[in-house]
Amino acid sequence: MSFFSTRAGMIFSGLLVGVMAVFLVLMGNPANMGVCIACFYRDVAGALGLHQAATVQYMRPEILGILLGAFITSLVAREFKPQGGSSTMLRFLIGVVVMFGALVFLGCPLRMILRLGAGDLNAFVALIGFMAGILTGIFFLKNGFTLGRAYNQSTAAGYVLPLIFLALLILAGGTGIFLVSTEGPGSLHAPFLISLIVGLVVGFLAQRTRLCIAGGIRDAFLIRDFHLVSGFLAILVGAIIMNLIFGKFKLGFVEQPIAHTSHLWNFLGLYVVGLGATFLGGCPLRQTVLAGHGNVDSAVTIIGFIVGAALAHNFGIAASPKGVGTAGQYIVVISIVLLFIIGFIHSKFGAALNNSQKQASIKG
Amino acid sequence: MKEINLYGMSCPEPVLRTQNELKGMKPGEKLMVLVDSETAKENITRLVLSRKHKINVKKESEGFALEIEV
Repeated sequence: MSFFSTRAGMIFSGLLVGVMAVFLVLMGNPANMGVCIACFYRDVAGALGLHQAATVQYMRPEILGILLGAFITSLVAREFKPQGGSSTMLRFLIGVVVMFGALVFLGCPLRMILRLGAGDLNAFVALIGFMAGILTGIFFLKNGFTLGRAYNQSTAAGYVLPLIFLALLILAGGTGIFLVSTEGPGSLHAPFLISLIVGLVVGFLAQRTRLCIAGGIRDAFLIRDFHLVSGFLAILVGAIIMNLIFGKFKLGFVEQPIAHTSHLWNFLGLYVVGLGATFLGGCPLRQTVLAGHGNVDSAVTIIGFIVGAALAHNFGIAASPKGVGTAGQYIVVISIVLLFIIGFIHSKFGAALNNSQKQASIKG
Repeated sequence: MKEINLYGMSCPEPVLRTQNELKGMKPGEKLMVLVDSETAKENITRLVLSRKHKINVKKESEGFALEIEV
């Protein structure tokens, strides 16, 4: 058993992720956004010109580094395994709505922890919503929910997204072809190489430990396994310590950086993320790591995140520090309805309607 | 010995299905679980050891064969 699959390894890795995230803020990243999977895919979508929000455009080396770090680690550990075909288009759709939910809250589950670690109590409201979403997902899992099996794919298929990310990284480092914000969160960033190195290290740690924010809460409730959730808590502790040391800890609801105080929408935004992530089998960070492993379904989910982010900013779905607009409110409700429909169809309630139930029950 | 094939299933299905099988088993009974990812192997191993059962992990060409004794 390697160090990273032990409880000590998980706690060490979580602490390191929390500490490095605050370090990136000190080096120039937006406040409480040292590492945020949703925000960074949104910035990547902006850098590619897929949305027109001028304040959130930057080719984030962290997110490219996380996927590539997981990719290299899985190759070295001989765990790289191209697989796919488990309800791929549904995963794309769930990826889109998970991004909608995250951008209504203004952060993925990882940023939720980092915001909590800086005293932002809006993130606590979101955590309750996230847990409610996961509990809803557990209800469906206990009733046989499955998106069906994945099957082996060609090696080339597994390399597609990692190589696209490598190309983006080289182009971002060597040319100025991508859009970059001159104001707002997109203009705030740590130096390129520091961001990249932290991303690679997070990718390595997340690959070795299987760190997953949604999985942590899910396993604690579902099978009384507290392994993953210890990583969650360690990130929180690492972030709190760093924020206290550097005077960045401020307890309260109001005037928190890149956050709003609409409790209902913070709750429901991460409710969507919790439920969607439970259906996907992992949070946005875990999907990124799995795509690095060669999982083609996770790669498609990431394309869903990027498309979701582009739509969210083109049509006013994403929240701003002022709050959540009408479009965002409509979309969150529609997303919940959509996830419930997927949940019903893919569990025993809709067994007659889908093939994944039959497929999953095939033995041998 | 009963055998369940959990190849290609995403988290937490392998560990959940294993748990469901274990619930109906009596002491001394054995279960063979086939998985094709390191993560599923680790999760199931943690589950089985936390329930004080025995597990024997064998590497196979496409994954792992986990022999569990309740």
